[in-house]
Amino acid sequence: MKKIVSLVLLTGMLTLMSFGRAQEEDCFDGATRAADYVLSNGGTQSQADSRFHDYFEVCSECQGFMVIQL
Amino acid sequence: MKKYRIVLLILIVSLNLGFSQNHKKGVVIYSVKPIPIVKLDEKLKNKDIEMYRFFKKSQEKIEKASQFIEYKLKFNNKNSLFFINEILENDYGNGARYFDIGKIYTFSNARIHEKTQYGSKFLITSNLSNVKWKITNKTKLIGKYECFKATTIKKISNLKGTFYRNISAWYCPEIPIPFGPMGYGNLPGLIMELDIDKMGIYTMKEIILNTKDKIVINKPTKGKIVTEKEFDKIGMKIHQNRLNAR
Repeated sequence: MKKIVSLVLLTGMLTLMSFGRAQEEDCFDGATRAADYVLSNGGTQSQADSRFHDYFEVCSECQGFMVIQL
Repeated sequence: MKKYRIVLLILIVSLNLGFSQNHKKGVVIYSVKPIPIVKLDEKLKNKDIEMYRFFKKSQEKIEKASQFIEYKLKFNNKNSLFFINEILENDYGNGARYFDIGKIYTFSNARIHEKTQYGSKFLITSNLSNVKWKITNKTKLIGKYECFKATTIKKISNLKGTFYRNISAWYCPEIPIPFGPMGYGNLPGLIMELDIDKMGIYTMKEIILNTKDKIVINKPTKGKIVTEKEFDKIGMKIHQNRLNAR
């Protein structure tokens, strides 16, 4: 019985982790794209970096995981 | 008659000297009107609706917060310091971070930008003599001051290529101080308005000349010293790494 409970918990954790990771990847992708738009429009690297963090912050807050400073 | 002319000339020179002597230090407050970097047009809307929404929301937030932002320029007879003044409304404290440019110092012909980015503190140095102004005859009133227009172009190098930004400064010869917002200056008068494409328009709100407070501007010492070019290269490398990680 214990083994079954442990297995269910482990599977659940792994599913949540992979789900969170996928969402995190989505935010990272969007943030990089936002920074890319700034650069294509003649923004500075510094302005692009700011928008990267803006996007990542908003996106990650919506999706409920911690902001990772890259 | 000749005697009167000489007396008049001496009087004018003394008045001018007196003005310069009296304006050796002061504080100028500027407001800011942000200029969007990304154009919100149909092209972007059709191409990438998600990005269109992000930039629209972001620009609205910046626009709103800008009403509660002020910058301060402090100067003495040799140096100047430009930075964000205290945020006027607490509610916009979060939005105000868009405008926190760090501190920009000018010492003779050198500009030092103290800034925290990419997780580190930097002292970004540049030479002010590289800014070549084109003086024009265009004039306009800013407050009660008659100002003249000067223009220059700034080269921006980023991972996508080289871009050029138009910069206009409205300076006031009546106040013969060679300083202005964002470290710009070296004009025959205080910059009352500075318009930097894809960044913002900084406009004089208040001038306090001959302030009784002592204005001491010391060179910043903490931070990694880099040139503008080196700082941009760090940004390019970080962005390239992000692109590779996707």
